[in-house]
Amino acid sequence: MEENHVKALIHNDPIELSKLYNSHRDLFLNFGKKYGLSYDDLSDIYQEAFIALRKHALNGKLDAVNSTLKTYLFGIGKFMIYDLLKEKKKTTEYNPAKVGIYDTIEIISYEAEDENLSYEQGLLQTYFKKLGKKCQEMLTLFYSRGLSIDEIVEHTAYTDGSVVRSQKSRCLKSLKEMIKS
Amino acid sequence: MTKQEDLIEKYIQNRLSPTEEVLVHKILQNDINFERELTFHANLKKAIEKEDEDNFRNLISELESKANIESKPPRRSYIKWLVAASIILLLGLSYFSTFNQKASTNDLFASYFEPYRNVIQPLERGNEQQDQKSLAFLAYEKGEYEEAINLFTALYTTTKEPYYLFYKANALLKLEKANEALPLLLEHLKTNDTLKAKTTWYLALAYLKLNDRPNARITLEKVITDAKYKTTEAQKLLSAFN
Repeated sequence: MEENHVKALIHNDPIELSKLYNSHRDLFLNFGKKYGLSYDDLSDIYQEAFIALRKHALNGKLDAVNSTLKTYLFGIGKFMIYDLLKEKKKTTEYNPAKVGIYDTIEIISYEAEDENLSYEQGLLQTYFKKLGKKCQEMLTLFYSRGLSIDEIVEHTAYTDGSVVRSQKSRCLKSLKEMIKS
Repeated sequence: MTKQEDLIEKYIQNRLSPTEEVLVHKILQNDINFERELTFHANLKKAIEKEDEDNFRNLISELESKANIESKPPRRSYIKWLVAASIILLLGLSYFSTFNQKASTNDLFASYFEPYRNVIQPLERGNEQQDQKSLAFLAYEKGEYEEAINLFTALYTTTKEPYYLFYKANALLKLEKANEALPLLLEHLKTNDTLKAKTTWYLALAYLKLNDRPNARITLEKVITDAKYKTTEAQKLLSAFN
């Protein structure tokens, strides 16, 4: 898949994401229409598919994918369309070929993970939000986006690994102090 | 950096070698401080991932709102709508006061109302960590509306998240308590919640349930001019009680 698109997803790049989101939206809504879902359902699905796409980018699933971002995104969307149709029709299996719908998009299955935080994790999220912007950025790169110290040096204005390390441990220290107080 | 710090760092980023994995398990069994430290970092990872995703969701939701507005025909300004609504209200009042007993508003409410589905908290089977938010939406999905209402009330008090107003109002409507749902929907309309586009439709149904035809009519017309949610249903409903 296009490496620059995967990077834009991982790093929440607002300008690139806006381009990506808008360039496929109308096509997706049109694609989904033939399954008989409403505009509201389809725009909900498109958003969810985009969020799922980012999760796949974060856990490295996209690195080995050969298709384009668009095909992959539509694959997740199609999976979600089937899911909603199943839910609505209360049937165990939905086979669109039977009702005359054909397209070549390969379904990409997506399992929603358990997103509930434990009590401790919830508190940590609250404290994390109180940290300064620089600390939030540094810790996000390391903990959520999985960048190694060297990759953080490349991605930011920090001059070398030891500066990154000392900044990271300062941030963790202030977080721990907040918890204690 | 100590060896233990290095191990924790690699553990968090899934970069441990098989030998290091064995080592981590060994230390975990003997060193309670190491265990605490590792748990702290693992919890922090979860918390930051959640925050990162929340921010991404907000960005996507903004992009969707913008795209939604741009792909629809331009709407009339608020002031114009208000003037139009007042005129319709005046006309409507005199019309409905003499013409009040057509299609039963109660029946119409019953055939059009359906609680809005849960789009806030995805629920999974076998999920053992049940926080209050999940419990509230679980009750809502299972149709235990009394329970859901209590939980939504408590959650709104603590978090002030506007979507709780919306879902509590939906549960109240389902329990035929439109008089209690109405103020919540009006309150929700003042917020910037992403579900706001759906609120006007439910507001119209609440007025309908309360047999307040003039307001139901105005609100349905707003649903139609907004053209964001349930436009076709609103048109049908409007002609059903005209």
